[in-house]
Amino acid sequence: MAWPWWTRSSNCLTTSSGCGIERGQICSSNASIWPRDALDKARDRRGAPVTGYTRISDEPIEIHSGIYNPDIVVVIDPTVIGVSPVTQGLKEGGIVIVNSVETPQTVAEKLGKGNFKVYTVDATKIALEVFGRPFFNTPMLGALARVTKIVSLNSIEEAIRERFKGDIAEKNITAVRKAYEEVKGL
Amino acid sequence: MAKVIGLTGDEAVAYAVKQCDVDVIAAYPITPQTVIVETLGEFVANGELDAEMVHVESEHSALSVVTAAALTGARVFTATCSQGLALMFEILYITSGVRAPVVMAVANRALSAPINIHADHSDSMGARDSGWIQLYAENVQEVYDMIFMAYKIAENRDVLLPTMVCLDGFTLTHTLERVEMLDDEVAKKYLPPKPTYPYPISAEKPATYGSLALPDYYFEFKMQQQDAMNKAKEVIPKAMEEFSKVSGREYDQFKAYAIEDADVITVALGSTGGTMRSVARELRKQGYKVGSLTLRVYRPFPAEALMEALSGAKVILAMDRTLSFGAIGGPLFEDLRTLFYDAEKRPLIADIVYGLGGRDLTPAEAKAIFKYGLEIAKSGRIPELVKYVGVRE
Repeated sequence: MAWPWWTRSSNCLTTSSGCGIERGQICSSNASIWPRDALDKARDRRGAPVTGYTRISDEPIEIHSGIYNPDIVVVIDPTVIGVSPVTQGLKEGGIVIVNSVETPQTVAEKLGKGNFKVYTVDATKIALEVFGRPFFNTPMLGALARVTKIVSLNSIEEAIRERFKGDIAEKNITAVRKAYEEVKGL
Repeated sequence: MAKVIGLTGDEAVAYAVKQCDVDVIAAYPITPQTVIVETLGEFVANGELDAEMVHVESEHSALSVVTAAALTGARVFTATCSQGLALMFEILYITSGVRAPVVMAVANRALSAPINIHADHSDSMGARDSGWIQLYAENVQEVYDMIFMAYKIAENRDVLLPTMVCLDGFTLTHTLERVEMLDDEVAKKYLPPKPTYPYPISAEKPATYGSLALPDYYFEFKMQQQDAMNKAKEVIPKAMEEFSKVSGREYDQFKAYAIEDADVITVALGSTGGTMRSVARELRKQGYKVGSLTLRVYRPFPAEALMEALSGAKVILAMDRTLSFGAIGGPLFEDLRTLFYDAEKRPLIADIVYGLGGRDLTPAEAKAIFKYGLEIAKSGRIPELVKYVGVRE
C-alpha cells in the first residue's frame, strides 16, 4: 500500500481528528476549485504517523479512493523518511516537500533514486517561533503554495480566516507566510 | 450566491441539523460519528442552536429519548454507527412502530468482531427491515442536502416514518469537501412547519403509544407501516424535486451516468458510486459501453424507477459493501434479482462484494469490475454469482 501523504494528527491546531482541515480548506472558499481531502484515521492519535490525501481539481471530484500515484508528496514529519516509503508511487517528475532543517540535496540523497524534485522548509522552527508549540502542519501549506502555485497565498489566508478567528488565525497566517518565504530548492 | 465552505461529512450533518432548527438532540458519541454530536454540542453551548442536548448513557437510550421527544411534537436528531446502531436495534422497530419521524445520521462502519472503525454497510443493512427509510449519500454535499430532505420526508403526514441518512465512515465523515450551503430562509421555507408530530402528547394531553396489540390488531399496525412506506415512494421523489428547485442541485432517487445505451451498469450505494462513475467516464472515452448508478434511496426500494432505468442493460452488477452470511448474495443483489424476475427482458445480474472494514476500492479494481461485466455481457454467462473484490485469497 502506498502512503503518499504523511502528517501527524497532533499537529492540527484545534481539533484532534481533523489535520486534513488545513489542507482541504485552502481551496474550499474558492468556488472554482474542488478539494477533496481525506485522512487515514487508523493511526490518528497524538504522535503517530498518519496518511492524508488531497485532491484538487477545477471540476467536481467524483472519485473516493485513496491516492496511489500522487503528483506531490508533503512530508510533515521528517522522521518517517527511511521508515516508510514516502515516494512510493510518486509520478515521474513529481514534487516532494519536506519539513526539514536540511537542504533539499541532503534530503534527496536520503530519499534515494527517483525522478522527483525535493524542496525543504524548516516548519518546526517556524512553528516554535510563531506558536511556541510544534504545530508544523500549517506552515507546510505556505511551502506547498510557493512550490506548486496551485493555490495563492491570498486564498490560504482567506481560508484560515474562515476557519479560525483572531490571534489563532493571525498566527497561522504568519506561519504560512514565513514558510512561503523560506522554502528551499526553488 | 449561497455560501460555500469546506466541511467534513460530520460537520455537514451538524450544520444542516442546526439549520433544520431541531428541538431535541440525544448524543452518544461513537467513532466516526463523534464529530457530528460534538459540533452540535458546540452550537447549543454557544447559543447558535436553541435545542435540548441530552447526554445519554447508551445508544439504546439515545434513540429512546428522541423517539419520545418526537411524539411531543419536537423536531429531533441523533447519530450513531456500527455497534451503536446494533445496540439501538430494539428501539429502531419501536421508533417506526409508533411512527416517530426521527432523523438519524448513520456513519456507516463495520461491525465487530474483529473491531474495526472503517466504512462498510453491515450496520445499516442489518437495519433494512426495521421500518426506517434509508438514504445513502455519495459525497459531503449530498450528506448536507439529505438531512433537509430527510426531515421533509419523515415529517410528511402521509409518511411519518423515521429516516436514516447514511454516510460512509471516514470516506465521508472525515473527508473535507466543498459544500454549497442553503440560506437559512430557504431551508426554513423548504421544511414542513412544526410541530412535526400531528398528535403531539404532553402532560396536559397524555396518551399511550406502542401499547399492547395482540393477534387481534398487531398485523393491522404493521400494514399501516407498510402503507406509509408505499406512500414514501411517492413522497420521496417529490421532496427531492422540490429540494432541487430550492437548491439548484439536481436530486432524484438515484444518480445515473451513461445508462441509456450501456451494456454493463454498476449499482452502488454511498461514496463508491462516485468512484464507479469516475471510472465509467474514463472507460466511455475508450469506447466501452458502461454506465453507473448510485442509489440514494434504499428503503423504500424504488423498484419501478429502477426497473425503467436499468432495463436496457445486458449486465447489472450489484455492488454490496456487506456480507449476508449464508445467503445467495448481498442485499442489493437480491433486491435487483427479485426486481427483474418477472421482467420480459431480464439482464444478467451478478454480485460484487467489496470494501469490507474500510478496504479501499481502487480505480484499477473499479475498472476490472466493469471489464468483468463486459465479459459476462459477451459470453452471456456469469462465472461466479458473487465475486469478492479486493480480498486476499
